[in-house]
Amino acid sequence: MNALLVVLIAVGIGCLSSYASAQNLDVFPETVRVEVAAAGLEGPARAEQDLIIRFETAGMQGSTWRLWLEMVAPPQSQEGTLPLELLTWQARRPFISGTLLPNERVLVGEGPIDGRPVSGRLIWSVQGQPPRPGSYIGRLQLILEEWP
Amino acid sequence: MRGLGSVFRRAVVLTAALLFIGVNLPPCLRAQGHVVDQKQFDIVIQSANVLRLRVGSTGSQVDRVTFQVGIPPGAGSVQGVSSGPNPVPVVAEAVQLSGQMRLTADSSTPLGDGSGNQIPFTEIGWTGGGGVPSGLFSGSSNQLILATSQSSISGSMAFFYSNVGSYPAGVYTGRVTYTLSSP
Repeated sequence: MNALLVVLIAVGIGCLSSYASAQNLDVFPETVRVEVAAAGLEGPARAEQDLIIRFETAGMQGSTWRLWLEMVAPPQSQEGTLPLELLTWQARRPFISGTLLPNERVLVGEGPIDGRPVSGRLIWSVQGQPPRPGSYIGRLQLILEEWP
Repeated sequence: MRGLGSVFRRAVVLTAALLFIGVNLPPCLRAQGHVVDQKQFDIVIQSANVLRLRVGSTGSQVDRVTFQVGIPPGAGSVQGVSSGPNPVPVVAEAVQLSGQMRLTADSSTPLGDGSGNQIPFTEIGWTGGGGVPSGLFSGSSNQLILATSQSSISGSMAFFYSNVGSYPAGVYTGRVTYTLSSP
């Protein structure tokens, strides 16, 4: 029993140190605004906006960090829901370009936990025209994980 | 019985310990990822109605239609020749049309020769093609050329000078401005 208690205490300390090492994931801005504007006959102009992401790997445990993106609330207007395939982002390493998927989180980036800070940006744009004009508002969530 | 109870208690404690370890194992000992942090952000997509209009050549230049009038008034109309494509293309598109799109023309400023002589635009008309109806300029600022529920029109206008009135000889120039609108 004593040995078991020692194991439990050790694991408990490990868990506490793990949670205590949680790093802040900084995201700016809190609201990404993308405008689909009119241009000439050659096609619509696409306005973009950057989402800046930064976090520390110092204090993280394991060998690899992974950053995921998932939909909390799909972009909706009074007229309906924006087709998710229209909403894309471009990124450079360590982040990955991609498109949102319904009911599925998408890998945004991964890299080594080496004590160095990680920063980058996702450049959001709308590819094509929404089926109806309007203001579509949605909510997304970035999830930072540490992997063994 | 006492031995059996002891074994049972140990089994319960061991099971609880294994469950505790399984649930709370530090990331370095687990095969799956552990959430370190998460952040939510909003995304706003603004999409407006998109209308596109081209009358004449592509690009930013304004085409010039010339009428060389070499016959007396009343002897027949004179076809115009554009500096761009002939007949003059009229391309109207609505990406997200709600209701009708309307093409109007402002021909309220008469043609002038620079010496005070004027020819009203009512002397000029066109033969429409590809969904653009034929007509004469009204000389007003908001003449309806076409109204349609179609989201795309690719038509043309072949201009002519009706050659009805009599005006002093000279070179007369003027400009018509087209506007495409939707509700």
